Amino acid sequence: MLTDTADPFVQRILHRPPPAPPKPPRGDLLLGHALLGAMLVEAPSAFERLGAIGSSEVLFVNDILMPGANLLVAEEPRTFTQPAMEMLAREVPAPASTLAAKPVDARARPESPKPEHDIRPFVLAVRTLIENERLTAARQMIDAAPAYILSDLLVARLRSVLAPPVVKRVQKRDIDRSREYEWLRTHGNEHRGRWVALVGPNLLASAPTLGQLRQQLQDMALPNAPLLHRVD
Amino acid sequence: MLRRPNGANFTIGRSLYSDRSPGSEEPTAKVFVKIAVEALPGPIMAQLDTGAAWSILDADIAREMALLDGKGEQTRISTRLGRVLGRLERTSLEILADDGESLTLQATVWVSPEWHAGNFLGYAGLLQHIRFAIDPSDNSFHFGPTQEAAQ
Repeated sequence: MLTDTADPFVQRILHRPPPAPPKPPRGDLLLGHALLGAMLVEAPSAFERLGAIGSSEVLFVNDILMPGANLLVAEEPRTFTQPAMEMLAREVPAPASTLAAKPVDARARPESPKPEHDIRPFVLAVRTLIENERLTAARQMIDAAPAYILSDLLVARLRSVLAPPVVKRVQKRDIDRSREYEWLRTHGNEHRGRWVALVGPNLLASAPTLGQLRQQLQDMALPNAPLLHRVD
Repeated sequence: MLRRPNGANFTIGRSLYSDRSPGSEEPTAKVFVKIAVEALPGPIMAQLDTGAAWSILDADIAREMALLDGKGEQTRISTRLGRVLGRLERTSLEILADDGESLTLQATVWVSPEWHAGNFLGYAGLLQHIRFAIDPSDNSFHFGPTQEAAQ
């Protein structure tokens, strides 16, 4: 199912050979893998038990969310010493055969005083929930995400699309459109497949595309804003 | 406007909805309400769809709003036409009132150049966050902000 997605980022993740990162100390903060599984069970309280989760080697997020994404899941918790996006940009463009022939040199990664956490399992899990239209669960997962990943570009984008709408009252009114509806009922079949602009019982313009309809309307003095509708 | 028993507003706006897609041969009754987007000179119709996760804008409208060139999250959704690939974009739209006040919503909508089957206001990303009621006796659509969403 996941491999069916056209998202190039996900495709890169799914087809990327697993790296050989250094093991983190036990109890280190862990974003991916076991933590994600815990979030699905008890999202609000999962982060309160990071120590216990960080030492877990039982991974079940892929069984719940990503049955086709086993490549992502390691046997043990791990961290990366390079930002995830940089690693992808450096490694993915090379053909798979080249990567296979080239042994991974973990020493080539410069040491960082503060290891970056792998956000990809988290992003993939949220995306899977979105694809499955489980938006409430996706929102809960984003809301429960630890602060240190919220600045990541991908996470920020997911957070934005999952944000509830901002609703404001506005002092604005439309006119009664019952005469436009009536016109469409009686004359709609004469314009099937076309965009029409109506004010009351009057057809102002008709065009095959909305762009062309707008062009026709540009030069008109409009008594009221016209109802725009494509007759299907 | 609709009020709660304690006199507080439940909704703040009302508009006349069409229970058919205007001009369509589709026989099943549905609820089409008026919305507006900044890019267009007049209102358009959108179907209330409490079964839809996302709100959807037709490709023609999305193009006029320059949403098809966006970099939003790419995702497929299940539609009556099958699974369709598109993007989730944050944009602004208005639910128009004939009486009372209208609502402006900054919300996420799904758009795709392949989608030419109309506009929809979906539940999880939009309707879930407003109050609404319909009166089929006079085709009235009542709406308003929820208490937490009111600004």
